[in-house]
Amino acid sequence: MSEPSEQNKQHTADSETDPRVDALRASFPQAILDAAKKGKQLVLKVSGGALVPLCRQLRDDAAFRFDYLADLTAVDAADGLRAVYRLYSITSGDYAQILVPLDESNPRIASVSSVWPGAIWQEREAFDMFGIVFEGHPDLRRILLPEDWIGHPLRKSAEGKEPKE
Amino acid sequence: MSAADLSQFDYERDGNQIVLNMGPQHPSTHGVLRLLLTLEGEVMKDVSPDIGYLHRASEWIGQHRNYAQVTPYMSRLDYVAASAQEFAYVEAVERLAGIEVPRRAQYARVILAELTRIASHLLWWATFGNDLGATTVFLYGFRERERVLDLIELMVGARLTHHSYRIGGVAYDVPVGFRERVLDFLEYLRPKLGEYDALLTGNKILIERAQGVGVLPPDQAVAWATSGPVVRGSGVAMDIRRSDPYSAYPDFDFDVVTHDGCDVLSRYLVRMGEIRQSMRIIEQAIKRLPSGPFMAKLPKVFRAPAGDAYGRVETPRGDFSVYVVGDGSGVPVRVRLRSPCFANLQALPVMAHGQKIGDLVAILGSIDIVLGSVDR
Repeated sequence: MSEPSEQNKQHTADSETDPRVDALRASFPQAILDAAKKGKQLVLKVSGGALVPLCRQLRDDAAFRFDYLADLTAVDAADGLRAVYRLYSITSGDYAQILVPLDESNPRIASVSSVWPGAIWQEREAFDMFGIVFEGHPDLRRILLPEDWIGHPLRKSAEGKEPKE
Repeated sequence: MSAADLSQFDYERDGNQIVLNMGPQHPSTHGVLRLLLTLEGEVMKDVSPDIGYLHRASEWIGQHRNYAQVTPYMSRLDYVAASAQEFAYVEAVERLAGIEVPRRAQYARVILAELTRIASHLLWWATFGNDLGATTVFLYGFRERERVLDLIELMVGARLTHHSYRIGGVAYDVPVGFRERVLDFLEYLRPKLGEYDALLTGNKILIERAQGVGVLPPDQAVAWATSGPVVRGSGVAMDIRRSDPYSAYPDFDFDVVTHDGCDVLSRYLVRMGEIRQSMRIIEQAIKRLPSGPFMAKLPKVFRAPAGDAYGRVETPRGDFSVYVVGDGSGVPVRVRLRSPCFANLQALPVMAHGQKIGDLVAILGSIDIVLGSVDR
């Protein structure tokens, strides 16, 4: 993130060699902001709009087959709040990382629980810790912290507090 | 007393369904887990786990301590398989910082990780037997686990929270005479496993209680992101030691144990098979232990570069991943802990749906959760 010029160079070189990424860019021209290959891992920077159809294609397309949601979380760093998904393909052993930049004042993103049901609890945890609202989630409430906890402790701005009596 | 007076004692009821609370203080939930059961007669219509009772803000601590200080917290997540979590964390940091770990340290790490797996599976076998009412099994399992803990104590000086993995290597060299002690132990354990099989594995009562109970079809096992013996007990050969090998694992021969019954019995058989595979790995590692340093040369003040990295490790309970984000300073920006127990427990309602309430403890036992790892 700190050296965008060098990363971009690498991105263009890699996306030329990977026809799967070109096909994906053609299907979602607006959604994919950036694509790169980092070792065995495909790194996609995506805008939130077309996340669910993109994820469904990554799962079902024979070229990808990312059938396993290995991890779903968020990072609140100096360069902004982002959701981070890590996908794994049991068939090919490949990884993909999806980064979705979010609005810090009102973080909202579509839920991928319809694609991978395993996301249900992970999205609840991201909501609990970061206050990200997952639209279309079947049961979005706190999971690890008490129900009456105030705030979201892993946000930069957080002052996690227990509720006063 | 008229019927109306009794209504204050009535339980929550909806038609023929009742909602029953199990835990958080229940001996078979292995810690502080609360389950809300929706029952129709004896049949479970829904199971809703309520977690978070053991939450200790480990991810928050991760971004408020320097890189080396985070390591001991990893031991305290899944406290019966401490080294497995440390393994994932140091792997992630070493990948982020591009540190080359000496071969001897890698072998020592694998030996400790596999000893941990044996200890963890023995503990699971003991408590699983106990859950089903087989108290002898409980005593036998703990007896052999004690031997493993003695070996681990000899190696790192601690029995449960090891804290022996360091960024760049291990804290202590493999001690003098360790090879003989390990080989003696493997000789000791081998016939014991035969005893276990004679005592419990072929036991008709176990088979009646475990076969066809708590079924998790392979497609569901993958969709719910389960891992470890749960996913391999559904016939999916996902083992990170094989599919995405880390550390010294490519050097060793072992089989990925799978059973395709998708039930409690299959998960049981996977774990019993894995104890034998871990013994194979340890034997190869201790016989071929390379000489040389056990710690990489690192600067006194450790700073990881800006960027991110994953450490993904096959713990006794499955896929434990650590996602580390650095910004060039000595303190991580983010330490994300992906717990296998958290994901596996999420699939409990799938396994328990439509089963009898009496089978719940067997199904929960077969997932092998540790609440310290679920709640982090």
